[in-house]
Amino acid sequence: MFKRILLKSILRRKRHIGLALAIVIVGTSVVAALFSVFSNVDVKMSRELRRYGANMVVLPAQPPLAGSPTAESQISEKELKKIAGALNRPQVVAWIPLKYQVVVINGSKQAVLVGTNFENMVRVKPYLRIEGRLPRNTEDRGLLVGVEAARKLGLKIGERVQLGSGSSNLRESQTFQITGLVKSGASEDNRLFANLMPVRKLLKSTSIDVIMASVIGGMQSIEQLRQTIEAVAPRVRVEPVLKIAKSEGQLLNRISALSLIAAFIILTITTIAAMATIQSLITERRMEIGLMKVLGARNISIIALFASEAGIVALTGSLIGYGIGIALAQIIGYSAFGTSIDLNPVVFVTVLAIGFLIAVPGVPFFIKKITKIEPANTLRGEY
Amino acid sequence: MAFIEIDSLTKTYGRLAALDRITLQIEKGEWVSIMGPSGSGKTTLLNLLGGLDRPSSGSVSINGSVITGMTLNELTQFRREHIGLVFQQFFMIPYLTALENVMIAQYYHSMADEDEAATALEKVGLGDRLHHLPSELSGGEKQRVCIARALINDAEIILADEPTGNLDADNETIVMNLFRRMHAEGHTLVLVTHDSTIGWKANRIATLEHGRLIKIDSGSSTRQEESSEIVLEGIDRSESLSL
Ligand SMILES: Nc1ncnc2c1ncn2[C@@H]1O[C@H](COP(=O)(O)OP(=O)(O)OP(=O)(O)O)[C@@H](O)[C@H]1O
Ligand SMILES: [Mg+2]
Repeated sequence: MFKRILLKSILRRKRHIGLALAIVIVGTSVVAALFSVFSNVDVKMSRELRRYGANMVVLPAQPPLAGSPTAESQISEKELKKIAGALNRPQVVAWIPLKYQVVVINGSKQAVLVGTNFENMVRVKPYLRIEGRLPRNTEDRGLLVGVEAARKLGLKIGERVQLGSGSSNLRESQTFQITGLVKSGASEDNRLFANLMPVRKLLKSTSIDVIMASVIGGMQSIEQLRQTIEAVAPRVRVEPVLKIAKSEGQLLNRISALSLIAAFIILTITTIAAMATIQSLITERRMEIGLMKVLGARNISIIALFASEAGIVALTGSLIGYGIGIALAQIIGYSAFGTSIDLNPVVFVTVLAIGFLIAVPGVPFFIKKITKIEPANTLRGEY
Repeated sequence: MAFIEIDSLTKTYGRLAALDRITLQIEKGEWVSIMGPSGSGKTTLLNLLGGLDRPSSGSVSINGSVITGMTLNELTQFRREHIGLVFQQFFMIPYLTALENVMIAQYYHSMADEDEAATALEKVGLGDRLHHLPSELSGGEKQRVCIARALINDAEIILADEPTGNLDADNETIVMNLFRRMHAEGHTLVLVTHDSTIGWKANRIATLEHGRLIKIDSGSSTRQEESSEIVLEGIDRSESLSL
């Protein structure tokens, strides 16, 4: 009979139930959308911010002063392998090794040659503008020439150049072919870029000078990486590129604070609306409650009936609200960040909890209301 | 000790005494009408008898149990076991059918029994209205559902507050016949009315005024069990009529 009363009360009171459902759906869908977006905002926003370049560098213990490099001023191949392992994490968008050397071009002029990994370089430095193409694979002796360097040296795409290491033995030179020009408006414009492998062969040295990485998750995540890297390679130093990393962190904090305030306001409004609805529903159903009491219903069984009804509304409403909310989140995600929003189980649980909070606002309040109804007064028509 | 003992029952609302030291005994199987002008305390008295309200002082005991000393939960249970209530308004759960409105009384009493509920509705002439919602029933039909509901748990005591107050003459006759039948079946009946022809159908008529019990008259009905009393009452009445 309990189920029958409950079912009829829901099915035959479509308008009331519909109103209660609508409130739960509005509340939960907004919360689901906001929480989904905001639980992603750090990741998505910092990916967005990563366009400004590397925010973490790995340096040898003693950067080279003037003069020839020593073991202390280099990162060895062995260390590089260990660091590469430590950098293999989701919060690392991309990283590149960099090996710098002054080289002689076609036996006459000098320029700085940089050995690196092209595929990752464009991810660490998304602001680079490239004309022509990148060297194909990591062994290709292709050369990317900064626009300024190309102008000064009179180099063009497709040309072959002889690069000799800056050491006294000028005969140790190798042929590279220019595949493209690169422009950034910064130091890159004066450099030559080649794959690390052929550069190592040319210079007969496997060590590198520095590692640059693009990391998401702000200073906190950089600090974590620093600890892991310095644990596996104690001779290196890890440092944030302060200017970029700090302002990123501040921006993210501001966005999180704003989102929290927004979520709080929306929740408050929906909860107040829900309270008012429940209150009016109970007032409206006073006669019903009074009659049930006259017929011998205990408070507890009336409360169970109303609570079940609210529970069903809450569950249905939050499920629908969650569905609408994550759909909204995807729309926001695509329009603001150009990517989808990941689903987060924490959001689902939160939304469910909020649905119940809205539909059963303050269970004690609800119970007190029902308990206080006196059948004598109610059925006398005192409202 | 009488079946229902009302002793010096008083109910005050602020300075107003809605009921003022009412003392009355009602026997098992008796039909008592409560009459009096509007505001004289009829509903207040009935609510106290039904355990829907608590007195300011005085007591009510039913079949030896002092209901005015019970906790709310005990009262609810007592009402469930012993009392059937009928009101002037036809209170029904709006989203339940006639049948379900009767079954809900069974459910809160013990266990819902659809067949038994249907039989009860057939007895009040609503065999073809079982699955109608309250909004689809006439006033008279609704009141008959309420009567079927009051009777479904075989309550010994039926308390009715102006049960025909909102009915036309035809429906009044139907409903009064149902009460007559209840009385014949041995239920104790307390019926509030301000219609003297209805009040007259009882064994006794208690009249209230300003919360006071001002007189008790005999009615037209005779008590089933005690035939000797019937004769006496008959004589009493003819005497009072001749006066
Ligand atoms: N909850 C209450 N608070 C204050 N006064 C009340 C309350 N209930 C009843 N009264 C007063 O008590 C008195 C008796 O009321 P009651 O309802 O018993 O009258 P009644 O005889 O049933 O009248 P009617 O024939 O109009 O139904 C009235 O004066 C009424 O105003
Ligand atoms: Mg009244």
